Amino acid sequence: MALSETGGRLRARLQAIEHGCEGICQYRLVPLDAQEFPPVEAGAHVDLHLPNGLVRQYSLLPSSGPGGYLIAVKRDAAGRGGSQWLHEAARVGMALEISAPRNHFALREDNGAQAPVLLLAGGIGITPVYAMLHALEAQGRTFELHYWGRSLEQMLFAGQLGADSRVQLHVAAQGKAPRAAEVVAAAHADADVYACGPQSMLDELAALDASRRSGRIYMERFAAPVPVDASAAAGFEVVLARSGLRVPVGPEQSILEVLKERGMDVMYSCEQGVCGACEVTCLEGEPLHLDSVRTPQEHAQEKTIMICCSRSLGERLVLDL
Amino acid sequence: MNCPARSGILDEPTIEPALLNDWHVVGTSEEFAPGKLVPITLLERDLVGWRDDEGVAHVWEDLCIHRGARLSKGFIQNNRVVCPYHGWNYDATAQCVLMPAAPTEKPMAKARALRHHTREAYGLVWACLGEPAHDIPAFPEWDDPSYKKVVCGPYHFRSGYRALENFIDPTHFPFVHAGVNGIMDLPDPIPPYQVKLEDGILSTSEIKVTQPYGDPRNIPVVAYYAYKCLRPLVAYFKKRVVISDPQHAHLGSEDDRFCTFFTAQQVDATHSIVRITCAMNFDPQPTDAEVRRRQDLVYAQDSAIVDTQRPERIPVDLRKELHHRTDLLGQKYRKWLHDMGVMYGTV
Repeated sequence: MALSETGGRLRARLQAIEHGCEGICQYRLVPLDAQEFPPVEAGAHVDLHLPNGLVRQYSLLPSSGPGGYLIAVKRDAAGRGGSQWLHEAARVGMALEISAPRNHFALREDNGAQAPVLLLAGGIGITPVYAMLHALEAQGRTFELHYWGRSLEQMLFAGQLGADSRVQLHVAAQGKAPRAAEVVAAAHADADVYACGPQSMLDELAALDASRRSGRIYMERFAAPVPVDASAAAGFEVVLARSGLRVPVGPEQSILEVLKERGMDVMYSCEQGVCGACEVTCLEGEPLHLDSVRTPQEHAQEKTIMICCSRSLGERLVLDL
Repeated sequence: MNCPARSGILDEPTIEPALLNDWHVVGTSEEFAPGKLVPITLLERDLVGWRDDEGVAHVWEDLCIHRGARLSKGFIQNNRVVCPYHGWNYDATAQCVLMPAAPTEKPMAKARALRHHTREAYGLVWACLGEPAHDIPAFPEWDDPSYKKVVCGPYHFRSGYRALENFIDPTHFPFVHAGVNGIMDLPDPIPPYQVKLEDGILSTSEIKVTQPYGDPRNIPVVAYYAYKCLRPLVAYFKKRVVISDPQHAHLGSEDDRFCTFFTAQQVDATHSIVRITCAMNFDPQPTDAEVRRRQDLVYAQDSAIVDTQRPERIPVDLRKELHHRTDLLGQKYRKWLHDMGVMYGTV
């Protein structure tokens, strides 16, 4: 085995902690007892398993690769403890467990590899977006970045980005800044939009009328609630509303697999979230959508879930089955 | 005498209510020419169609109640269908009004041809073999005088469902209709689109495609297709057409639309006849011949490929073929058929 794994996790050494900007530190993680980490593509994140039992997701910054991963963490005094631990208790040299990288926020080519791209970042939401910017630049694609922050001092990479003509920094402290939705409305309707930032910004984007755009809006919600107990983080319960049957879904299982094992006659085809055959109405609970059939806006509207790949953010989903 | 009870009279295939009680197109209005008997096969049933002196279209079993001869081999005389075997005369109510071997006798009340519900709409003749459970699906542009209407077909296909699914699939355009409805070297990527099931009808949001020869005006357009599946064998699209060359954009209008109302008659489980009615409102209006020339080309290109698809009976179980989100409408169509209990011509 090339990688040291514990229950699908990778062991990492915290090699360096660096000052990023006011309130944000960067953490470099290198393989602890393996040669290399898995390769990374722009938009990917890892789960960080902290010694106090917390599991937190962090986007990987551009210099991440097999030799080591780089994340940026903003101290959030009002947060749920992950950033606080990293800012106060983490010490260089510590061993930490991380998951292999996952990407729910990859750059898409299905709208045409040459579709114009609009990147939107709010605050610490710059982390996956900055990786995308580097990827787009490497591909020679045209893009535009709008980046909102409270002050330049609190905006990661503001120095590098401030000099780039494709980038607009919107600094609240400097007066009036446009809303993210206004920027999208003013942009080319063909442009693919990638956005990461606070809940309010993403909700505003989700409310935009998708029918007016041929380009799509893809969002990463970095503040998704994650259960505190690491073992519950991956497992959840599915309730089948028509029969009242309650079915546990383990961390390594899909909802579809569990239902198939029980002999249920559910429709499916691709088993990887690209076709929509397994779409089921979700009556209760908060799905974690991992398919590419519908956009986040459509998911918000349709209240359905693709059971072959999607999961639950909470402990329970009630499905119309 | 043959038993006149409607069920059990013939060796009929089992046809589920969703199709039995549905309206099916059995001809264009033009095919129902006055004075002509039209042999028809619908769902393996042999039928005869004709148009009476009042202009009303009729669809009957192709069978004389007397000795079972085919009425379609007979002729029309004095607004009556005359059986080729013993010359029994049936009037427009399907009642036998003359038995030439006993010309002074009043034919028995039971001496009737077996009638089916028949209607005409959108330049097409429709029949229902059972009791209609729905009205004929709506085609709003038919009654809109700003639209020119042209009926096209018949086009022969094997599976009517495969033909319909092909009709609602814009991703085949660059390949099957290269140079006409799409560009093979530059296929349009299809972003996610919405499919809704409302009031028993499946419909999509607009799907954008580039068409080098996008309508009968023979000009390149950007087309936005909004599809509907109205019944198992009836579908429709309303296409918004925008002239793609900015220099000629002024020749078009924002309201330019090209609509197609698609129907498939199932002859049997693996043979069908497609007839369509096109409606368009742009200027200059193409001639009927120009519209048909283009449709004849496109549907010939379609059937050449669609008829190679296996299995011929479309799998309505989504696990049986591989789907992609760009096939979302076709995939929802199959599930819709499955949920309706459509089994004839499917697997």
